[in-house]
Order: sequence, then structure tokens, then C-alpha cells
Amino acid sequence: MSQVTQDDALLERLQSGDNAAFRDLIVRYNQRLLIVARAIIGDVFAEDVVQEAWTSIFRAINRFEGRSALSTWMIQIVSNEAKSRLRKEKRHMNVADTEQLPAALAESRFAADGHWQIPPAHWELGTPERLLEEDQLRCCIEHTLTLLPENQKAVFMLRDIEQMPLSDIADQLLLSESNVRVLLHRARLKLLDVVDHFQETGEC
Amino acid sequence: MLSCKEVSHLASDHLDNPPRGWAGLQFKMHLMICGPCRRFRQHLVTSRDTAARLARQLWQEDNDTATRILDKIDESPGKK
Repeated sequence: MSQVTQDDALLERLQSGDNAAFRDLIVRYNQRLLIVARAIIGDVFAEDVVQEAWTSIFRAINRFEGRSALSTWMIQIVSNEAKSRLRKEKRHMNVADTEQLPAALAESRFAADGHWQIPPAHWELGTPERLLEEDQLRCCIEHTLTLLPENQKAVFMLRDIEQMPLSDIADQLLLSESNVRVLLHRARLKLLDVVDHFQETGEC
Repeated sequence: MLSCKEVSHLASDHLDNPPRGWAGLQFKMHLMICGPCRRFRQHLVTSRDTAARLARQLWQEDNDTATRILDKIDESPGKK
């Protein structure tokens, strides 16, 4: 079942007063909302912000009209809570990670004329289904996802899981669109590196 | 003509914003004639999709945390 279909079914249960449905919503989305909050305000205040957001979501869920996806609506709520807390705390976002140079493959992979010197190798395991059958690779990817810097993790989650437009991601996370692109590229390259290394060596 | 290095820099962004016009034509032409760049792009898509699938499973909350959040909502002022 797709995420949208699952969310539609969950929303129907929520709006018909099924108490267990709100627990299911928290189980499904709390980690994702924490990722968004951490990217905006940092680790110290993130749990507090997300708790506030859940209280707001609980109070407003019956008025949700479905003009956006349920997940987009909840992400908007947590983003607003985090920005509001950011103003109160008078803290500044840590932008160090976005100030670095854009991510790129190692220079050594290219010759002086810009063509491949070390071209990408053939992958024996060529599909997500096949890759996810490898327990060790699953652990490697999990580890990499866990260690991604918070803003890379948030951008990856919002784009590659929630399929949010880049301009909306920039608004939600208080980033420029070009920084969103750089962070996304960087996160994807790290994940590609993990899979590539596993395909070559059979280990992390 | 774009170099392979330039194509590798643009590949991620072009998954989200397929380029149009001359830029798009240059990118497509390069991919048509360059096997390693086609492979790099395919690797980028495959690893992205694999990680996204795994992250959907990984980023789920446990029941104890859900209970704690629900308890705090119950204790909050103005709870319906």
C-alpha cells in the first residue's frame, strides 16, 4: 500500500474518533518530525518542539481538510513550531555544513580533461529489492542514514521519502534552494558510496 | 560538450529538475554517448531508492515513546 493510501486510511480512522489511530500516526511519523525539528533548531529543543507539534496536531486533526498530504500538513506544523522556538531562543541555525564547498566525487576519479579515470564499476546487485536482501548492506545504509548531518538527513527525507518540491523544503527548513540542492546531492553521494563500496568489497 | 565530471556534479540535481533547452540537450547527448555516466546516474537512482525504502522502515517510532507523547497530550492544558 502506498504512503498516501495508508495515510488516507489512517485519516479516516482519526476523524471517526478511533483512539488507536493517533498512536499509529505517532509511530509512523514521530521520527520524521524529529528530523525536521533537529534540522531547524538542533537536538536540544527538538523533542520539546515535536511534543508541542503533536499537541497541535491532535487538536486540529478533525479540521484537517486534505488540501495537502497529511504528512505535509504535519511537517508544516512542526516546522512552524521550530521556527517560533528559534525566534524565542534567539539562536541561529548552524549553517556550517551548507557553507562548505559543494559535494563532489573524489577528484582522483577524473582525468585532467574531466573524463572518467576510474569509471563506476558494474554492480552485481542492481535493484533496491536485491540490495535490501543483503543484511550487512542494510546495516551499512542504516548506519550512514543515522550519521548523516541533521540538515542532510532532513533534506533527504523530505525529498526522497516525502517527495516534497525543493522550494517547499527550502521554506520548511529555512534554507536557500541552492543549499537544499547541495545538501541533497551530498546525502545521495554518501549513500551511493556505501553501496558502491559494498558491491566492490562485500563489506562496509 | 559537458565533461563527465560536470555530468556527475549535475546528475543529482537533474533527477529533481530535468533540464530543458540547450542545457537539457547537452546533458542528454552526453548520457547517450557515455556509458560510465549512464552507469553513474543509474547507481545514484538505485542507491537513493534503496536508502529511501530502508529509511521508511527505520524511521518508525517505538510504542513506549508514542505512549509518552500521548500522556503529555492528555496532561496538556485545554485538551479536548
